[in-house]
Amino acid sequence: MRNKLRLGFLVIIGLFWVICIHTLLSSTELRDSFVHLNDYVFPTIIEMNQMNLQLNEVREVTLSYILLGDAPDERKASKEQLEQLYQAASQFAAKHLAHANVVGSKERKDAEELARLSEKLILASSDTTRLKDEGAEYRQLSKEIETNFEPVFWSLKGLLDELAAEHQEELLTARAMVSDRHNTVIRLVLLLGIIGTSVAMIIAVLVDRYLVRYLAERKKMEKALEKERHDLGERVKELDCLYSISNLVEKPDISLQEILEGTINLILPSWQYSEITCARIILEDHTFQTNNFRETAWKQTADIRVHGRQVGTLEVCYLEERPESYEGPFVKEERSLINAIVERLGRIIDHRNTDRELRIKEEAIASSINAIVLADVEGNLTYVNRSFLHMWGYDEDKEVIGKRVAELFQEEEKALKIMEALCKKKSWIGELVARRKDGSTFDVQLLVGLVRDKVGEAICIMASLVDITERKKIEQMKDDFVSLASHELRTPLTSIQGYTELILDGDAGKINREQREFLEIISQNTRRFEALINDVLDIEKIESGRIRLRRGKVNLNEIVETCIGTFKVMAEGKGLELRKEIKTSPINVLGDLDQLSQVLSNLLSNAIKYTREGGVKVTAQTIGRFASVVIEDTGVGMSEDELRSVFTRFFRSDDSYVRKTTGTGLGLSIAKATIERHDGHIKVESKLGVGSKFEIILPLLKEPAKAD
Amino acid sequence: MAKKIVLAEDEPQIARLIEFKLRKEGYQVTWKENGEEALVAIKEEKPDLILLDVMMPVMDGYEVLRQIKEDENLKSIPVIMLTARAQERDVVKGIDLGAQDYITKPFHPAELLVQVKRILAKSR
Repeated sequence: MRNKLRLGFLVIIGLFWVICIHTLLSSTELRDSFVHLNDYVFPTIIEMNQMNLQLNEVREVTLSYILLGDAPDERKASKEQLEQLYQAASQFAAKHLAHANVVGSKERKDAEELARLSEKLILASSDTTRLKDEGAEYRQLSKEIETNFEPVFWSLKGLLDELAAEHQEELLTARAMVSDRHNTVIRLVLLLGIIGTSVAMIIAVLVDRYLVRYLAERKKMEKALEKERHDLGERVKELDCLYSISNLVEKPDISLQEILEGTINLILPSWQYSEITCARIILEDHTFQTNNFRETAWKQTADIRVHGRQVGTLEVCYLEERPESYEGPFVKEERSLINAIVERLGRIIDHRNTDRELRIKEEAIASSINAIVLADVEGNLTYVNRSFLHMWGYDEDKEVIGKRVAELFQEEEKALKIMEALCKKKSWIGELVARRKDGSTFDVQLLVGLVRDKVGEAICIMASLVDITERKKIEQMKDDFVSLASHELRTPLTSIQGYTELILDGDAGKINREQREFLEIISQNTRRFEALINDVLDIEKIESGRIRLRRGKVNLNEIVETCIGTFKVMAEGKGLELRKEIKTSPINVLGDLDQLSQVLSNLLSNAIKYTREGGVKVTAQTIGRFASVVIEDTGVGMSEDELRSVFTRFFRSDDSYVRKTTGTGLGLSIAKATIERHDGHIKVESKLGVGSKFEIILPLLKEPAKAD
Repeated sequence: MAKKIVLAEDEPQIARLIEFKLRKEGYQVTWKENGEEALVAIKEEKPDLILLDVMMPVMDGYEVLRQIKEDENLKSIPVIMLTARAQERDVVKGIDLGAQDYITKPFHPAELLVQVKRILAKSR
């Protein structure tokens, strides 16, 4: 499109130039023609006429001179007149000759002929007058005129006429040419006018299209620039205000109240008409306002929010109306600024709250009774609290910050392993021997865990330590006591039981039926007493890990069979059905046969004991890589409260029926401890009045593949 | 000829119980209140069986056992340890030192008798 336009424009300019040059050439030709007419043709025509008149006069005077009498005056006058005429004719001829200065041209030839004929005529005339003066007769004179003068005269006259006619024609030609040129010029002017107008119109259109648009664009840009400048000014004010607030907050130990007071005073200069601006912050119960504050109709408000909850309000008022603003009493920048300020205030309040909470948490950690220690993920100490300093005997935290966590303990290698294990496990709880600054040692319980950020990246290690020296002492005392007590209890028990049995066996003589009955009661209770002592010691040993498991391949099916056999009589005696559901293939686990049998016996004995009617079912099966033994009864069941404490020591059912039955209340605790030492798990489901279901889950023995 | 048994037990009532039961069965029982005395009696009498309580004053059962087993003349005499069940590791220790068997307190006198008979029958 643009290229076509350019081409068209070029063609028009080319045409214009062709026309211009043509016009120029035409006008030059015309001018030359006029110059010729003016310089030559017109003067020649005038001269010809004068000459014609003079020649006629010469003829007339010459002829009249013949007729003159002898009066000398008359002759003299005529002669003088003739002399003048000769002179004029000669001058004319000379002049004409000078005019036609182009040698060889027709004008020149004509001029030379004219000059020759004029001279000849003058000669003939003067010959005639001279003859008259010599007294020649009229006849002679007439003859002279007729032969010499008249032919010359008429030749000259003919030439003159001829030249006049020529010039006449030349004039006509020139006129025609002028007319012709005139028309051409008019046409050219018209054409130029049209072309000029067209070009002008095209230019005008182009100008209109481009220039006008350019100007409009420029004006728009200028306007935008102006607005930007204004916006920038307002923005600078806004930023200045926000920056000042930020500076305020950064001041150490500045209170929230001081921040708000400062903010109020920072607001005024940021508004367009500072002198009539006033502001007020209401935050919960407190109000902060500028001295000139007065509530007016030209008010701007914004809520201060913390996590979306409104905690206060900021109000900015103009004391007078400012109608000149087309955006309303407040400009856009002021609206955005007030929002920015409340947002900033919200954040400041939030930070202050968070800071306070953090300080509380920090203080809680610092003053915790437990020693609390933080370390980086490499295990270098970064923080210790007061209890730690006290427990480890350090005066200042500087003494330990940067040390390895493992150095706090006597068993450094064990501590190192725990730290390494933390990478895989989330936490570790256990006991360690700690080493004080002075090298002395004490027992601690360590609870250590990895602290992770929101994306799960480990940030640091946190350990909580409790001095368990006292507890250890008490535990040792308890153990000693239990050991001693059991020994001391056994001795009288041995006597009671031994002598009772002796009598019962008849070793001390015959006894009657009643004596036997009573002695049997003594014996029975002695056995119960013994079982109690044994259970107490058992659980103590199992829980403290002092009992060593004699691990071997154990087929759970066999244990179930044996137990069922043992309790068959007991169940039948109560009229209960004792069923088993076991797989034919062995269910092998790695464990202590005696202890696992003991657990199953306990559970089965309980089930029969607590069931009045119905039956007990034992199921042994494998579930994936685990073995499961379920003992299910239709007994008294347990309430939810009871379920919660079923595995605690000395647990006995509240049920009055159960109360009547014998038991130490330790069987389930022992079962749980035993199963857990076998890396297994015991769980219970029960419903009061419906029955209970105990399930033992143990990992299956990984048997090597049989090689055929 | 009646079999000779040396009983080392610091509790007189328990000792009396055992002595009574065994005498009734026709065994000749020598009772000593502590390990040291018991060791002297053992060396003197060269009994067929020794019943040895673990917890005794002056010299405990282990020490007595060790000395018996070090003595070429005595080491073939079978020993039954009497122990409170609390000290299971003690039982192991006793067996390791060469005791034939152990009986945990409290026990039935009849049970003890069965045990004694069995050991004596074996050692014959």
